[in-house]
Amino acid sequence: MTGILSVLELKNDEVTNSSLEVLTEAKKIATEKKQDNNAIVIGEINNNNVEKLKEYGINSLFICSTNTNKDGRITLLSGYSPEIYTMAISSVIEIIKPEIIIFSGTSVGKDLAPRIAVNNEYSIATDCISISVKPEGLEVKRPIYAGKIIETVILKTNNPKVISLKINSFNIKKQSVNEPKIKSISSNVSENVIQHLPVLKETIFPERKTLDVSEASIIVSGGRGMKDPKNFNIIEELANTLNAAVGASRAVVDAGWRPHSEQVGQTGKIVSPNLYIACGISGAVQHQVGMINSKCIVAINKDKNAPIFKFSDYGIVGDLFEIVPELTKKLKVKN
Amino acid sequence: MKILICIKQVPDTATKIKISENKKTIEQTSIKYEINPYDEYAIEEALRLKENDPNTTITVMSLGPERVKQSLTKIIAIGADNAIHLKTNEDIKNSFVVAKILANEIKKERYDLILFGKKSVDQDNNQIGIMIGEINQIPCISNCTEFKINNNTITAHREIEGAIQIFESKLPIIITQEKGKNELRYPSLRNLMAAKKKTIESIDIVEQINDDIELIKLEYPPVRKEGKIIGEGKEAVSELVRILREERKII
Ligand SMILES: Cc1cc2nc3c(=O)[nH]c(=O)nc-3n(C[C@H](O)[C@H](O)[C@H](O)COP(=O)(O)OP(=O)(O)OC[C@H]3O[C@@H](n4cnc5c(N)ncnc54)[C@H](O)[C@@H]3O)c2cc1C
Ligand SMILES: Nc1ncnc2c1ncn2[C@@H]1O[C@H](COP(=O)(O)O)[C@@H](O)[C@H]1O
Repeated sequence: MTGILSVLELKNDEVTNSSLEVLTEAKKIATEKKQDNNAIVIGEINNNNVEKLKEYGINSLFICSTNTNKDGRITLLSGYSPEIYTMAISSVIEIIKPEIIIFSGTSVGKDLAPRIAVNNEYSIATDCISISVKPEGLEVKRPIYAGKIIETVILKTNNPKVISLKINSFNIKKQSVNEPKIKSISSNVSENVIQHLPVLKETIFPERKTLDVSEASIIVSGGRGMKDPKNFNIIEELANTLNAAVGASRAVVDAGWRPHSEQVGQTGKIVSPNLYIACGISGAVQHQVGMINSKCIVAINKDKNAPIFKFSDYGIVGDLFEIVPELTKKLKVKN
Repeated sequence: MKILICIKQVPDTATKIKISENKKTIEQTSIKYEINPYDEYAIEEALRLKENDPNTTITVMSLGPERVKQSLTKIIAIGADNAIHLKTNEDIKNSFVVAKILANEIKKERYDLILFGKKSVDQDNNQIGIMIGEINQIPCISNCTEFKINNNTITAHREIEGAIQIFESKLPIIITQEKGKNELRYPSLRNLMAAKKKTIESIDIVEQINDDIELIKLEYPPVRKEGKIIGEGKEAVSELVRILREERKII
């Protein structure tokens, strides 16, 4: 067992940033361990993206965009299927027998990493925030108890390993250009099996194209202090001005004012943007754990004793219905 | 229809977690244990299915120390039919080991629907349900906010970044539950008393050692220093904008 395998993801025909984070870490580990650096991408990848990948120090790039049935019939892979993706990755594992497989901590990576680990008897650690190569094995840090504690564990040398990286936790670094060997592969799933697998019928996008809180570098969140779902228009306007995502506290999600996908916190998303602006949010511990790792936190709240001020970098005490529109106005004026 | 729900007890989300002196465990004294929040959403979905189809039986299963009985009793009090306690001395940390033990017990029955939380909020693994699907060769749809069952077919909404995927599958199926729309109901005192009299099947688990992952230490994340209140009301906005633009350079 030797070598690294990064599992890359595509979104809107582009290799995702979290995949580039994975590649950057993979290259570091491969260099340190003097091992082969491989990557796999599932789905149709265009030439532009293959070009882009040449800057990340990959030795072999496996591309899987088809499925071959038992009778040799080849079909295009369309839509996400965890089982078929798992088989595609497993077929590469069979060829190169990697020691370390790295996923992004996205909905896809979270879904696939445990499957790959179990099927191939690999050790597994999910949502890692730092990785270092040690003689005893691979040492990783990962948040537990929703980030109240950081644990350091070693995935020992003797066993191959699967890890996933918490998104937005690593830097992206390009290497000098090299030409990876490109290998097209096909997953081998028989029609019989496919018939019994769950199928993706449809993907529903929100009516307005919005940035997702887990990927945005700026988030503007609203809480119960917004008083009415209609008032979120001032949050949306501020978010648009900053090219930010809209976030929400659980109080407003449970009230049906905002979708769950926007909820930040223990039972929502754990985010770490460059800037988090909390408007009318009290700062309960379950909200706090979801956003405490933001690089800069701004709170707007009319109660000067609100807990949110205890862990914000900057606070303004006052009525958000005056402050938020004023902030939008000032930001629209370029310097 | 036969439904199984696997539940884990975790520290109440409001609990302050204290690291012990050995830096490898957490202080147990001040912790209140509760049902993992995502498992609660799964339980509520199961109870609603049962309300619509009285032919449904609900079994709950939990692997853990003596204290988990209390949660199992609570779930019986709100409508589960059976509970199975896989008894250990303490929580097992290695997800692989947990998945194998649960998978082995699950195999003993034929369930149509097996529910898990998407993750446990103590270990934050996001693994067990998905692993059991692979081990027992049952398809698994992870991260579902809601699902419907009609004539042996399930339609499930899986939440991904910025969209919802709608999956369809035949039963049996494993679902890992994201936060749903329905909060878990409370047991009445009377039902709770009745549930306490019901026997919970208990199976002693011999802990399998798997030392492929070694815990080195636990630590607190770096503390954020208390920030400053820039000012009050609208007048403070210019200063905020100046700081974000010029000092922090983030906008
Ligand atoms: C198991 C569990 C999981 C949970 N998970 C989450 C989670 O993921 N995310 C989450 O957010 N919560 C979560 N919670 C809930 C959490 O405990 C709080 O109840 C919730 O965060 C409160 O939301 P809020 O701050 O919007 O509302 P409130 O606590 O009601 O705060 C509203 C704030 O708005 C301010 N305000 C009111 N009017 C104005 C105004 N005009 N101008 C300025 N400020 C104003 C008030 O001063 C107040 O501070 C969870 C709870 C539990 C038990
Ligand atoms: N000890 C356990 N006993 C029963 N179910 C468990 C146990 N640990 C985890 N689970 C289930 O697996 C889900 C995911 O847990 P995890 O993979 O640890 O994040 C939980 O929400 C539970 O449904």
